[in-house]
Amino acid sequence: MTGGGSRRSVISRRLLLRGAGGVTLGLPFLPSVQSRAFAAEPSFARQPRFVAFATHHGGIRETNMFPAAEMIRERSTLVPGHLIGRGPLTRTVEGTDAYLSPVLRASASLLTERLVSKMNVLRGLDIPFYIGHHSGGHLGNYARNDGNGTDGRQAQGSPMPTIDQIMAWSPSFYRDLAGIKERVMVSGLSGGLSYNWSNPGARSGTIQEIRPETSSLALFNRIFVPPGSSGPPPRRPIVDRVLEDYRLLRNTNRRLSAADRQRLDDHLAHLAELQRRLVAASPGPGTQSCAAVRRPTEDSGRTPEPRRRLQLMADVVAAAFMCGTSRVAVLGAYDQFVPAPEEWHGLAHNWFNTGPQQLLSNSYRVFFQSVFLDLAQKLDVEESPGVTFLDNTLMAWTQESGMQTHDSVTIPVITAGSAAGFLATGMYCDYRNSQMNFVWAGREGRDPMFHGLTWNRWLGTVLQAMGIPRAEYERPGVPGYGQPLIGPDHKGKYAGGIIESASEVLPFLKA
Amino acid sequence: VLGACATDTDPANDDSCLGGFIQRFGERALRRPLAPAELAFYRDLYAPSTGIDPAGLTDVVAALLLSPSFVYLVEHGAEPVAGRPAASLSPFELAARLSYHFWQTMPDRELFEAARTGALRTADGYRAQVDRLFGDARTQATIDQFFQDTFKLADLPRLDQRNADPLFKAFAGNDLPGAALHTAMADEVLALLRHHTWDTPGSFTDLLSTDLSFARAPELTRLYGLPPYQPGSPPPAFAAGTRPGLLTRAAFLVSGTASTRPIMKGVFVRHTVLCDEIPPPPNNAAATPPPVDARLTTRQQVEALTEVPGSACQGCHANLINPIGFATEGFDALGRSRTEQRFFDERGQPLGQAPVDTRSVPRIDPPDGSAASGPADLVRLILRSGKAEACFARHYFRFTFARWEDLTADGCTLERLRAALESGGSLRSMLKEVAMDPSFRERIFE
Repeated sequence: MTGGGSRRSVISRRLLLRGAGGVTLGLPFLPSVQSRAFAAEPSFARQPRFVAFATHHGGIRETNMFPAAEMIRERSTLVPGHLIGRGPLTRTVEGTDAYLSPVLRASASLLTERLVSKMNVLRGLDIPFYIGHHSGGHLGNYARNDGNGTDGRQAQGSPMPTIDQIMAWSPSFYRDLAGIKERVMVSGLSGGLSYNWSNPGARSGTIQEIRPETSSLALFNRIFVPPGSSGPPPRRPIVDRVLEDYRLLRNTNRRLSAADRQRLDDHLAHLAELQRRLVAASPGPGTQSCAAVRRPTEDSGRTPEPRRRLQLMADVVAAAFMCGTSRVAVLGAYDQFVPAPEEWHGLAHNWFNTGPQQLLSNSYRVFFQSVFLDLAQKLDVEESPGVTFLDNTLMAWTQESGMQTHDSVTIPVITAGSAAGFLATGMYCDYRNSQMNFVWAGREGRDPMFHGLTWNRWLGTVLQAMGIPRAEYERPGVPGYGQPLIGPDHKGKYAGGIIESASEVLPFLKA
Repeated sequence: VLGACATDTDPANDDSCLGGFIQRFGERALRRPLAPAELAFYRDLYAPSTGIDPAGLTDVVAALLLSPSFVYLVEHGAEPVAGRPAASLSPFELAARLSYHFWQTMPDRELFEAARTGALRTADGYRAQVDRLFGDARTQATIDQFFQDTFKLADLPRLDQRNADPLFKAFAGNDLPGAALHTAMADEVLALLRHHTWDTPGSFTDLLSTDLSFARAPELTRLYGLPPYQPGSPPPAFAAGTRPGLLTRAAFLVSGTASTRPIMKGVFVRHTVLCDEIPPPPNNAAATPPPVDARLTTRQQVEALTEVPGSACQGCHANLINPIGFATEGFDALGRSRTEQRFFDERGQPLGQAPVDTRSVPRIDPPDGSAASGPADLVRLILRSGKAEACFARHYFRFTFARWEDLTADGCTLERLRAALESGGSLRSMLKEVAMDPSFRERIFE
């Protein structure tokens, strides 16, 4: 049996299968699982949501990315030899703009005090080895890197599911799948962000990329059904019969290679998930917000402008949250925000020069204002008395690299929302340990960089904020989430106890 | 879809009408006759319907198109192969493998009948079908796909992105690229490969050493200084040895900037032409490039950056990567022939020029310290090493079997393909003869 490879025929067969899934759209859809105010509900009723925004490259000078040092008002010792700090996130208004930093700048009507109070800016989170170019690190699959260095090449040997998929298949996160049409909405302008087992339910097979949906309209159609199309299907869905067909082949007494059996198992699992989606929705009224959702007339797949394309996808994410048809979204952007995207590689590698740095910083500012804040504002509407959809969500924007492209020390993390009350917000947190200056050979004269806390701890914090117990995602002896690799250049750079404490929620963040 | 039996007024024939359809359509979709149990399965799926019901037919068609036997090329094998965990393919499996390999689609009626009648089991019958499939135009489209994948022709960058940059404008002069130039370059390579595969079947050596030009777009032929190639007429030729073979064609020389990229050219040859593994650069190797003098040639800049004695970069760059790229520095970043590199400032003002140096020790086989004075020598050393034929055979193996090779289990097949190229056999013959290899007709079950 042949199902992979680069042959076009194979790809088109996959597309065919996806297209056949579209049959589900004609079946009855009952949209809403109403979220409740976290304040009024016992903890088990929390239904936090997660949106991951990921942009590639990085290369933003820390002085451009982060607020001024004066915003840090409080210092405390995390472990002996490692001082961390925090302060209230405060915007400065300048004309019609407001800003937290040169990159985190937007129209004052967008970057409002209210929104700033729901954000966090986290500085000092490191992937503690040389990962080089990557797209998998954002959400925990460090193996998806380009092998630009020896550390990254080593990491390629241990692929892992990403945290969005951990959520998607966690019984603690989706306690009730009724109404959930998509466990995760993987979308955006670039892929390589979301990964899972080929058989997610059984956690078996190979780690595979979940390819993004690039058409906002297609994504919408997977989540919603046009009004008036509900009602009993004229015939029983055929998915169960197709499943039976696979089982017959899977359990045949004729020869099948082990790889073929695995592939059939994977396919069976995907069909089972399709069947779940077919029967998941049950009749019931939508929320008030959902009732306002209309089928979009504009499609990101036919829109050339990257900002607009991402906004259209984010609109579907907001709509799905409001209708309760999904609670997780991953949105990726590549290099579409610089004036000439084909120049990005050269720009990023010259981040330390004034011209390229201005272009890079400006591109990220555009992303922040046009995409990140755009969705935050759309979600900041009341879901239940006194609580907005944004409050029940954790939006997190991460970059591929820190200040120096390829390098993963101090990867910026910008968040909005409290994950249904799990997280404290309105803070600028600086986790860097300024007592341990980190300088690559030959980098003299550049901005100093400092080790902070590990990315595994950030990923674990997100999972805990989503209500997933550590026992579900941690592996024995590996605190937090992700590979425990520490690169040779990073060994000895973290104070005692920092690596070991990655199981815990990041300092200052627990509400 | 069903024929007249579905539209006539006689309900008595509806059942046989439906059964006939499932059998015919199922046989096409699953690429083999349906077993009685399968026929019953799809009949049952239709069952809520009575008579001729479009909804029921929709379900049957959808189920067949979602069947694992349609979605995948399922192979159970027929007779076991003695001494190995393998089995020969059944005639219908073999027909599907042949058809999907050469045509990337399901078997046609004739091939299907050859499987049904058993002709495909005979040596003559099989050979006849291989000849027929290979001679069909659909195979040429498939082989085009192979060439495009192997030589990464779809990855060519657009070349007009810097047209507004004064430096690039000054560099390009009257040859400022249009939006389609990169496509014309890819087309030229494909035309060269097609010519030596189909029009005038040549050897692998011909691919790497031919002086013929297959460039058709005036924008490209102007860069070459040759008239356009007219299919059906003899191709124009470069002066002997000045631009030998594939590796000196613009598609493999351009960078999209005003500067050539010897490192990328070297890596391309190592990876794609020689199938060599190059270890990853040391961590953060690219982080801190030292400033270089704008009046140094690209080669001198690359040497200054990567060949510093004692540096971690030097080992690979000085020996394995850069020398191969240096050998084609006699062509600029638009693929034009040159003996000197011209320098410009950011405003496009000329700063001067310096001669380019194409001499190097490419170490195609690392112990081999033979010197090359330029592209002709580079090609000669590549061909002398035998590595390119082995690499090309490896690419074709991956394309054929849609998997990575196992150097132990697949060693004999790889060697047969390589030997077919090395002995001066035609490229075309090798591309076809893979179907005659025993491994093509069997399946390993582990």
